[in-house]
Amino acid sequence: MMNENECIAAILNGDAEQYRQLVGRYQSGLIIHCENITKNRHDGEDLAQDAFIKAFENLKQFSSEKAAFSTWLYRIATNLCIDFMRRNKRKVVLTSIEERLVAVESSYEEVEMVEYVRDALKRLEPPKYASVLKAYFWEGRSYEAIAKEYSTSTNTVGTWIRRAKHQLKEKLS
Amino acid sequence: MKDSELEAFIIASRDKHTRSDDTFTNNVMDKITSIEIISPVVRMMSTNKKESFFMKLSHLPKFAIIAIAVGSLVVLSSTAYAAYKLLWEKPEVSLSQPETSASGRDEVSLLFSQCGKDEMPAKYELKKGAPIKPEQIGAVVAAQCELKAINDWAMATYAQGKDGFFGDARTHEIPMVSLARKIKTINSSSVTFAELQGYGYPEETFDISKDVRYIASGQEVDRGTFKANDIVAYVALSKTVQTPKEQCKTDACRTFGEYRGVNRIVAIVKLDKPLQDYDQRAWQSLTELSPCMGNPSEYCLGGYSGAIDVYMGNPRNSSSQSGDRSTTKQIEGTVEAIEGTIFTIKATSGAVYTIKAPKDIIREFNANKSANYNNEKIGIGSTLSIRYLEDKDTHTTTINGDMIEYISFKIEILKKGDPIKPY
Repeated sequence: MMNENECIAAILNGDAEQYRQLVGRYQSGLIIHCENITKNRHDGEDLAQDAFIKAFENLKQFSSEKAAFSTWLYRIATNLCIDFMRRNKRKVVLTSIEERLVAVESSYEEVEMVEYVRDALKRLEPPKYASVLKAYFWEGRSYEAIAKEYSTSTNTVGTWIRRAKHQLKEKLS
Repeated sequence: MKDSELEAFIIASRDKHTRSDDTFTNNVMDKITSIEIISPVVRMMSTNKKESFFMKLSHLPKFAIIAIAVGSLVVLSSTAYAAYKLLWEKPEVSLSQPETSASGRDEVSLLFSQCGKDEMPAKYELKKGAPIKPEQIGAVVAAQCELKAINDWAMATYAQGKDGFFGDARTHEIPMVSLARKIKTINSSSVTFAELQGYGYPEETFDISKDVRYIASGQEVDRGTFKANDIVAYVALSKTVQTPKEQCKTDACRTFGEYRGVNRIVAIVKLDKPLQDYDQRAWQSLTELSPCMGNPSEYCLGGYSGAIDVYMGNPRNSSSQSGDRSTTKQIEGTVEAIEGTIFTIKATSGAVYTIKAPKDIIREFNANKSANYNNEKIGIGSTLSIRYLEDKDTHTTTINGDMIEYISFKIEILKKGDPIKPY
């Protein structure tokens, strides 16, 4: 598998299929990021999709020397989400968005912390909590899809995720 | 640790072997490959080598060349006179009268253009079912020429980086030129733009600082020149600054940094034409045609044209065979005959090219991929684009399998989300 910069170089060289790797890697995070801003899963998915397309359109302008691809991609998505919210006359809380953006951008650089999180995920009890977190945050599945798999309600999935995050936070502190 | 930070770490800790949502990925890839977008990357993939001004002249009748030569002298002399006070050269385009193109569409040729730093395409074709009439093409192209000149000036003036997208890792700054807008009110401290109907852009009000530049006809003017109902474009800087960690006062800032976003208008430019001439839907009604890369006597589609991937070859296969002298060329045309893996296409000049594909790619497309694209199938009359490798100094009309880099099926789209229609 190519690394990110090789992948981008290949795409710019005409091999558009390599973009699939980047979409696969960032889609779940980007959907959640957009969902958090718009407070709507479907809007979040649509905007994340638009962001990937816009990033592809402008890939020539991306410079890995200036920022990570994730930073650039999340910035594009954030701008699309803000435009979307404004178009729909919905209130945009910029401080909250910036806070999330900063967290996302930093998280990809904090390799050690990422390892702690992976380790802590393995130690969640019951193990279902880790599965649900992975389904939502890693696989990009919606509450509805997870609820269906576990034959439960979306409210219960929300409760599991909240409890799992609380437990994870304790293990990391 | 805040929830947002924890969630970011969970996402970043994603194992690379984790399965992802294939439907989402496929949707993105389909949109990219079917190009329901205007993509500079895809333009680059299927793009055409820019033809020089004099190469373009070679396609025109002699009387047109003489007319351009006289016109150019006038333009050059007036530019030299006015250059000291103009921020950008007066955008100008000259187009031929509409004619019927090889594909049966209305088409105009570019006789002369001065629209910023890059050349404009050689021809424009009106798409089938487009909302504008052939006689409106000139006004629409002229309006885009004007916006392009403004955009080039804005990038040259306000973009910090070479690509115009980023400043540095701590400061991101993006100059942006707006769509054409109508001023609702303007005074010394703010400007309100009327709602842009059809785009979902609501009425917007921006603060104006005393540094804002007011520009009309390429020259700086006083704010008093601008009034309600004027059609303008504005240049805004979208700037985001991150506080360096060493200057942080909170733990969160020290751990994750702190961003502050600023959007401000830096210039308001009065536009010359009616609002409808700048309409993006009018612009999207046109398909650009430029000389094909490596085959300058043929025309290939560009701009708001779309294509579906049919076959992706491996360029490395043929480069070793052709050596360093090989270069990528492109040819486009309508399918004339299909016999298994071999098919012929007729290019815009009437020349027929024989394509010897390495496998039965047309049958495979029709059987396996067509269902994803409104069941449109490749057959006689379909337009295909072939990108291939060939020695720089050689010209053949038979393209063998090991020469092929990429084959696509050209489609025509007026706007994003429209059902796929073949070109």
